[in-house]
Amino acid sequence: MEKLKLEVRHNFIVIEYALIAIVGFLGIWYLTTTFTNIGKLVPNPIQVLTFFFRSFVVPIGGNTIQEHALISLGRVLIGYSVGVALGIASGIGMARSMLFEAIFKPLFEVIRPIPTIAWIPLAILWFGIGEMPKYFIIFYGAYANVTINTYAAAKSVNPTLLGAARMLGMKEEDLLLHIVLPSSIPQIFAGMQSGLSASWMGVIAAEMVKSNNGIGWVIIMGQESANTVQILAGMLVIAIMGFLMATGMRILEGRLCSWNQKKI
Amino acid sequence: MESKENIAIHCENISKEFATKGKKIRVIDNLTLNIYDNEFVVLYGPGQCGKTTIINILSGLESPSTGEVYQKNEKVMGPGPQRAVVYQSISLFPWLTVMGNVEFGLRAAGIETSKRRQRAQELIDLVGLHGFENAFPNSLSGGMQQRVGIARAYCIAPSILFMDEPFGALDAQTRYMMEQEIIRINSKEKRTILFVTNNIEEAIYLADRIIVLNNCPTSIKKEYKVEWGKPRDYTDKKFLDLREEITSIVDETP
Repeated sequence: MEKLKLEVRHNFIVIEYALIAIVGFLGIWYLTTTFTNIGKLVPNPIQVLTFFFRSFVVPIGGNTIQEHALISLGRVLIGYSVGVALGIASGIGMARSMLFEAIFKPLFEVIRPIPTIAWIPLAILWFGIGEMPKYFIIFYGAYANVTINTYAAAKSVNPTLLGAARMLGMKEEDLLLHIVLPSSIPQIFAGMQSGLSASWMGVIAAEMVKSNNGIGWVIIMGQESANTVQILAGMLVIAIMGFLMATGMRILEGRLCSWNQKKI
Repeated sequence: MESKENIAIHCENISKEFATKGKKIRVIDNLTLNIYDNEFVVLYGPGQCGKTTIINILSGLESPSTGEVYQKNEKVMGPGPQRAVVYQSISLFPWLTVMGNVEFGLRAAGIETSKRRQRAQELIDLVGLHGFENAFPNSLSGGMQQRVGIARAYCIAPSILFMDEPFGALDAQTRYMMEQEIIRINSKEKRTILFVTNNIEEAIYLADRIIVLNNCPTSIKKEYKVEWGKPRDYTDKKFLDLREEITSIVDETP
């Protein structure tokens, strides 16, 4: 009980300080842009927030700001789900088949250090200027991360657990689905989280390079028309959506991996 | 009692060698062993050498370098539900609940849900975990986790149960309690048990027969039948005498 009280108190302090930090940041931003020369380069937060809320009804280009956000999100969902599904399959394939591992592991070692966004020029040359290159970039961000994490997890399944399953009468062909996969879930999830941030970065970058809509496009249009307010409003949308996605993933992890949490 | 028909598991002249850094190390040397039906046999030996390997070979998880293992005239070729193991490292499936772990073997055997739940519940109740069916292993104490390990092994009704230092990772208090528990559980669900330990009191407390092992390479040094009834008293004179005798012959080993 005492411990619970302390914990509630602790959470309260964390939220308190977070609010103080955000309000303080906005305050300093407002004051410096209003009373110094910085204001000539950077708009004040009220201008940005006004633009942000106005964009819900007044479109930027062909779409309102929430439509742009949903367009980017839709692209991520498509590329990301394919990347996660294929990544889990490839990772497990590499861990369980010597041949697969011998062929693909060295390839992954070479490709792995190349950041997702470095693929954008090739993707555009290969897939043209439509949706495909964006899907590819998003797919790649998720696929690389999920494959590597799944591979590492499936490779390090506790051999005693495999022995225990065999001892209890499980057939060899069922071990993959009933032992290897579930015991890898926490690490697969870690890969899905880093994969999601790679995908999200990838879509913004791809939209900035070549697109007619999406949040990345909103920002790059702001740059081309020297509209700092629009750039900052686009960045605000990215921050909000990134936060929402990370929170969603944390909740999902709590559901899926509750068995992995130590007792309090 | 000891005729050929009631031998539960039998191994003859098994040896095991491992190669490390180009050197061959002999872990088990010419071990011949009969375990009879419904017997509680304890393999007692000091040190880390060979005891787990004996369990692995008898249960079929490893194959011996020479020699063969027979369970009721059938050669042991690999692990299977006729030979259940309770591990020192406990080794529950952490993503399954207590119920999921205990019913695992029956699920693998394709037993229908209501039937296997009923059987698993019996075992959960027997090991004293009623009310913890939906708990995950991570939320249980070490002693409770090993109760799940024991229920999981008993649940598939194996003809022999191997217990590889099952209480080695537990604190002394929990260990005493679990020793009493295993006597109680085994009187309700009678099985043939081969129990490995390096704790002499545990050996005398539990065994119908104690097999004292030599260390490295492992072979049989001497056998003792312990014929008085259970539960036993640690401070009984018979208990203390036997303990002293076994300790004295083990201490001679270099």
